[in-house]
Amino acid sequence: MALDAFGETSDEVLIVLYANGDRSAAYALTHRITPRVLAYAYRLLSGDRAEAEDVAQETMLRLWRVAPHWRQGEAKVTTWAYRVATNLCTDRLRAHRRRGRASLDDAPDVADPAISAVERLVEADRIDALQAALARLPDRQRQAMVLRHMDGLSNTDIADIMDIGIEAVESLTARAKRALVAILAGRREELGYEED
Amino acid sequence: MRKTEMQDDDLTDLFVGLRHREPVPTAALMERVLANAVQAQQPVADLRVRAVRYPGLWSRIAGQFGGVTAVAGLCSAALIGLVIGYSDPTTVDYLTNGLSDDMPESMDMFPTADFLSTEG
Repeated sequence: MALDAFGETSDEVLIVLYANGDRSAAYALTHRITPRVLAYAYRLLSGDRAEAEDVAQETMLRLWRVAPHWRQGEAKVTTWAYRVATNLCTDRLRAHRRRGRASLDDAPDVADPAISAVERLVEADRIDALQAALARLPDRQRQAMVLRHMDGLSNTDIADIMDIGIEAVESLTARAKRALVAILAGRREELGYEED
Repeated sequence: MRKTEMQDDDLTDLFVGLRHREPVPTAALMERVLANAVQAQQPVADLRVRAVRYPGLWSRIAGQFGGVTAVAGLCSAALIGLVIGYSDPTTVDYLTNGLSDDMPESMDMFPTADFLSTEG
């Protein structure tokens, strides 16, 4: 079967096809949405792969269950999925905080064989630094920042996902950016950025 | 001037680096998601079949009156009654002419039943 035999068919049409019993629509939706939800959850959960996979699977399961009741034109499937994943991640982060688990970022990143060992170290340092800095942001700021800069979503889409206004999104991302600069203060040279 | 603080470009670069390290879903995860999809789809298909077999509202109402044929008969009778009720009396006379020519204008159906209305 092709990776996505439905080509230009929208996610909203696919969800209707799935609800009507089309299994290839399920295949297409799985390959379109699961990677995005997994990556998003992975960032929100500070790089905990196992937790992120659980969130991705649970999000997709809820999508399958809601499919027969899907109302056309009310929301985009991706927006709905991001919203569910956001709530699931928030619940898990709260549960971790209640249990007093300090950090979830002990999962190693996969090494890219195309870059040298030194570059890989610098790259790993940068990723660790950003991941740690993101983990220190308040949940809402981290969600807005990841959606904007990792998933490349528009402020309108982020507002829909987070159920807030566009101005609030702009405010969250601006505050998050200032906070990241403050957290990473003085580490520019250490992270391998050239002096100007 | 020497810059020690992170700049906007540096932050953008950090995010680009992080984006290149996006986790790729494992085959096992995709299989689990697809298995859930198939499992969740089964009751939906069953529900659809049941919905087709289940009689609709009108069928159930017609059933209370003896079926669709009986309801059709009742509707026809009601319609004819309405037509006769609203149509001009001359039309009715024309229709019943053969019957009404020799009929008296009034008729006492129970001539010996006066005792029912007497007091004492």
